[in-house]
Amino acid sequence: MATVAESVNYKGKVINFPLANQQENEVADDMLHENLARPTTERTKRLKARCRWKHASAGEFIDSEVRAGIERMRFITEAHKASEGQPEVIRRALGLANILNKSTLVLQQDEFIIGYHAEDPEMFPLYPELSYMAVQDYLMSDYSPQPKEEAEAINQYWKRFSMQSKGEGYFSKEDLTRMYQVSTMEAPGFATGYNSITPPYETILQDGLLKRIEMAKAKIEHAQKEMEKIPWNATEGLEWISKIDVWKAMIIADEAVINWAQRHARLAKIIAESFETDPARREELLEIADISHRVPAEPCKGLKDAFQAKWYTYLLCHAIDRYASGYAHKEDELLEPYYNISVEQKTFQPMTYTDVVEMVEMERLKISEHGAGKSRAYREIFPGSNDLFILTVGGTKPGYVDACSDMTDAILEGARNIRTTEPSIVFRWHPSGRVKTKQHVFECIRDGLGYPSIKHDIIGTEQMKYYSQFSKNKNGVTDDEAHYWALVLCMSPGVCGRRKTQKTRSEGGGSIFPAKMMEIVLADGFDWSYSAMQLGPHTGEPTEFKTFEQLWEAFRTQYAYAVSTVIRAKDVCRYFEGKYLQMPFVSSIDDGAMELGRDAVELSEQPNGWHNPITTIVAANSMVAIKKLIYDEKKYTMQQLVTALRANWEGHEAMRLDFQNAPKWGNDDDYADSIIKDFYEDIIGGEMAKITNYSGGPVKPVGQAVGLYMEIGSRTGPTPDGRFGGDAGDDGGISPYMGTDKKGPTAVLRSVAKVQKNQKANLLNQRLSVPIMRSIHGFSIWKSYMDAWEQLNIDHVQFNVVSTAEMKAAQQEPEKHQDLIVRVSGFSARFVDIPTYGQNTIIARNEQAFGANDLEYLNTQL
Amino acid sequence: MSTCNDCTYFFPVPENAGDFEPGKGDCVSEKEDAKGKYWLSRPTTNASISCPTYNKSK
Amino acid sequence: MEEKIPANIMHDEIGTKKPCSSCKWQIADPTNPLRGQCTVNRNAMGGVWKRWIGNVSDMTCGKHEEGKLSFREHV
Repeated sequence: MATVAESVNYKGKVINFPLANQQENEVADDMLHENLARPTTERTKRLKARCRWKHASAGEFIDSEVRAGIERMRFITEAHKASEGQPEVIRRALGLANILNKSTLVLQQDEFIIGYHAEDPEMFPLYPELSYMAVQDYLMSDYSPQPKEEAEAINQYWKRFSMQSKGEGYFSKEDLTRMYQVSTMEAPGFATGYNSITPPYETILQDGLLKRIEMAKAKIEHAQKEMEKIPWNATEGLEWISKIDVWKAMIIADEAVINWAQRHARLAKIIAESFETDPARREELLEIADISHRVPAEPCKGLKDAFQAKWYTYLLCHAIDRYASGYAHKEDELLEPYYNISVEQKTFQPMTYTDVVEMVEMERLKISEHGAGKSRAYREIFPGSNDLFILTVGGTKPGYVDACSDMTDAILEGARNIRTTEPSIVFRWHPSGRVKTKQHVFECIRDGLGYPSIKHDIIGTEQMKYYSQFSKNKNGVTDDEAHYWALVLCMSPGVCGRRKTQKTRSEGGGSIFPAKMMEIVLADGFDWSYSAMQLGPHTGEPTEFKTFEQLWEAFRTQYAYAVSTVIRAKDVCRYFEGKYLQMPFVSSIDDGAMELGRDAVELSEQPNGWHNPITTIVAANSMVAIKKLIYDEKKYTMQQLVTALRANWEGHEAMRLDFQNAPKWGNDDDYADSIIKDFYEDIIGGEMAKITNYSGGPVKPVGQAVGLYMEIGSRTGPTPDGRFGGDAGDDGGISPYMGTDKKGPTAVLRSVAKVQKNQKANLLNQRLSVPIMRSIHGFSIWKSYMDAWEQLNIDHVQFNVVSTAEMKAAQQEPEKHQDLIVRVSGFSARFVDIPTYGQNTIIARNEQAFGANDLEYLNTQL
Repeated sequence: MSTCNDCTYFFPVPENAGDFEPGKGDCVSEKEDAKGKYWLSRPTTNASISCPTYNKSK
Repeated sequence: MEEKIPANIMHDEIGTKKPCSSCKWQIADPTNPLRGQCTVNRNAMGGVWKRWIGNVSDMTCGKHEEGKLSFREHV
C-alpha cells in the first residue's frame, strides 16, 4: 500500500491528501518508480529495453561492454601527419574530413534518428590532440582502445602537439600539481579535454550546408578581388590571408559533412534493399535514406528533417570534431516551425502530436546511448549518467511573451513517458508561461525524474543583456536576442541562435572548492589531510587570528588565488585553441565567423564568463560556527578548534556537536544568513567579478555541485561546521547542507532569496514529499511554491520526489530498481549506478513536507 | 585471391555521390549482440583483399 | 606550518613488493594516471576519506590488499 500524507488544518479546514491516481494505492512505496514508465509505442519500449547506456560512476563504466574506439584517433592522426606545412585551420578541417570519410557508420534496428560517433555502438571516441594524460588513463584501464600498441603510439605522437603540452608551459609545476589534484581547484581544460559548446543549430536547420558553402565561396571570391586591387595596400590586404584560410577550411569541413550524411543515406538504403525483410521497416529505412540524403545539405523541410539534422550537428560538435559535454539548445523554439509544418499544416512529413512524442522519446534514447570519451575526473563527477546533457524549454520571446508551445509539451510528455536519466531538461519559468505546459513540467517532477529544473526567466534574460555591454567587437546580443537562451551546461544561461553562442569552455565552466579552501585556511594554506603539500598561499597561523575579520581575509586570499589561477588556465587554453584547435565546421554554421572570416573558437562576440564555486555552504556554515562560538561567545579558542579538527573531532564530540548545532543556512536564521549573504556577495561573487576573461567581461559565480560535492567531500578533512573528514560537501550551489534545513521549504526559500548581488546562478536542490506531490493537491501546492519562488527572485530550483523507502530498497536489490531515477545536482542519475557513498547523500536530504505555515506563506488555494 | 569486388557485402558508391571514386564501395555488414541487431558500413575498394567476413556473390 | 602526513597512513618505500598500484584500496588520480588516491580510510558515518598518492609504484602501508574495488565501494 502506498503512503498517504497526513491531513493538515489549513484556513479552518481539514485538508486531506488522497492520491490523484487511486490505482497507486496498491503500489508499494518502495516500487513506485518501477511503475511509472509508459513508452508511447512498442518501438520506443523495445529501444529502451535494449538501450546501450554508458553510465559511469567513480571513474568506471558500469556496463562491461563499454570501451574506447580507435578510429577517430587513428584518422585524425593520419590527417595531421599528411597535412604538415599547411595552415593550422586547414589541417583541422582535413582532420575532420578524414574522420568523416573513413569512419565506420552504425545503424541500429528500430532507430529512426540515425548516426553514431564511433565504430561500434558500445564504443566512444578519444581525443589525443587534447590531453595526453586523459588518453593515457584510458590506455591503463579496462576500456583501452585496441590495438593498444597503436593507441599508445598515437598518444605519444600527439603529446608534443596536445593542448595539455601547450598549456602546461605557462604554469609553474606547483600550480599544475595543485590544480591536477582537484581539491581546491578543478584541473584545467588542457589537462582533461573537458569542454562545452552551444552549437548554432539554427543556421544548419534554416540554411543547410550547401548554402553555407556558397557563402564561404563568395567570401573567398570577394577577398581575392580585394587583394588584387591596385594600388596594393598591405595594411588591409594581408588581413585577407587568414580569412581566406578560414573560409576554405569551412568548405572542406562542410563538404565532408554532407558526404558523411549521404553515406548514412546509402547505408539505410542498402539495409532496406539487401537485409530488411519487414516491408514496413523497409519503407521507413527508405524514408530515413531520403532524409539523410537531403539534410544537412539542404534546409529542413519538416520535423523529421529537423530532428535528424540536429542530431548530426550534435555528433559533430560534441563528439567527432572535438569532445564537448552538454546539449545546449532551446529545443522547443528551434523545432516549433517544423512542428507547425508537419503537425499543424501537414504540408511536409505529416505527423500527429503522438508521433512527435515518439520522436522525442527516440531522441532521448539516442542521447542515452551516447558515450563520452572524457577524462577520469569527469567519469567520477556525474555518477549514474553518461555525461551532462541538458536542453532548455519554456521561457519568453521578446517583450516577455510566453514561448511555450505544443512542441514544448511534446518534449515534456516524451520525457515523462520514456523515463531516461538523460537528457535533462530546464524549464524557464515566467508568470506568462501557460498553465498547461506547467502541468507537464509538474508531472515530470512529480514522477521523480529530477527534471525539469527550473530557471528564472527574467534573471536569465537580463543577464544576457548585462554581459552584452562588454562585447569586444561591440556586437553582443540585442535586447530581443537576449530572450533566446538555453543553459550551456547545468546552470548557466548562454545565448542560442545563429551567432554569438559559446563555442568553448573558456567562457564558462570549471570549478573551485570553498570547503577545501576553508580547511587549508585553518592550516596556513597547507593540506594536511589529503595531499600533504602547500595547496595555496600562506595566509597565516590560524591560532593567531585575533578577529573574525582576519579569518575572513585569509579565506579571501586563498579564494582569490584559486579563482585567478583557474580562470587564467581557461584563457590560456582558449588562446591555444584559437591557434591549434580551430573548428571549421562550427565556424561555417556561425554567422559571425562566416561574416568576419574568423574561426569560431577564436571569435568572441557575447561575453558570458562564469566559474563554479562548489561546496560553498560547508565553508559558509563553518564561518558562522567560528564567529559564533569563538569570536562572539568565546566558548572555544582557535587553538582548540585546530586541535579538534586535526583529530577529526575524536575526543572532542561535545565540541563537535556545538559546532554542528550552530546556526545553519536554509532556516531563515538572521544570524547565519547575514554572514552567509556577505560570504556569497563579498567573497565568492565579489572576488570573481574583479576578473576580466578572454571575452572582455567579468566572471561571475555559478554554484552547481554536480557530483563534485562527493569527490571534494572525500578529499576534504573535517570542517568547523561539525562535518567529519571525508563526509560529502553541500549538494547544490546555494542549497542547505543535507539534513540541516529544519524549518520547512519556505524557510529555505527565504534564506536563499537574501543572496542577490554578484551572482550569475546558484543551484537550489530540494526534496519534496512523495505523498503530497502525488496527491490531488500536488500541482496546486507546487505551483504556489513556484510562484513564490519566482517573486522572491531566486535563480534556480530542482527537485527530488523519491522516497527513502524506495532508495533503501534499491540499495538492497539494485537489479529490481533499474528505473529509479534521482536528481544528484544539475543532472539526474540512475540511483543504482551511483556509489553507495553518493546514494547515502541523497537519502540524507530532508524530505520537505508542506505544513500549514508553509501553505499560508504560499497562499496556496486548496 | 578474392577481393571485396566479389563479396555480397560490397556495394559500389554511385557515380553521383559526393565521395565517389572509381572502385570505391561500402562494406555493409550485419551484426547482432545481446542488445540487438545493427549494421556497420566501412569504406573500401573493389580491389581490396577480402576480409574474414567475405561472402562470395553468386 | 609545513607538516607531514601521518606516517601510519602511507609512506615512501622504494622497490616495495606491496605498492599502492596493486592495492584494492587504491584508485587512480582524477587527472594524472601515474598518481593515485587511497580510499582505505572510512569515517564513522561510512564516508570515504581519501589520501593522495604521489607515486603509486613506490608507496605502501600496512593495509595493503591485492584486488580492485567495485565502483559502489568508493567515490
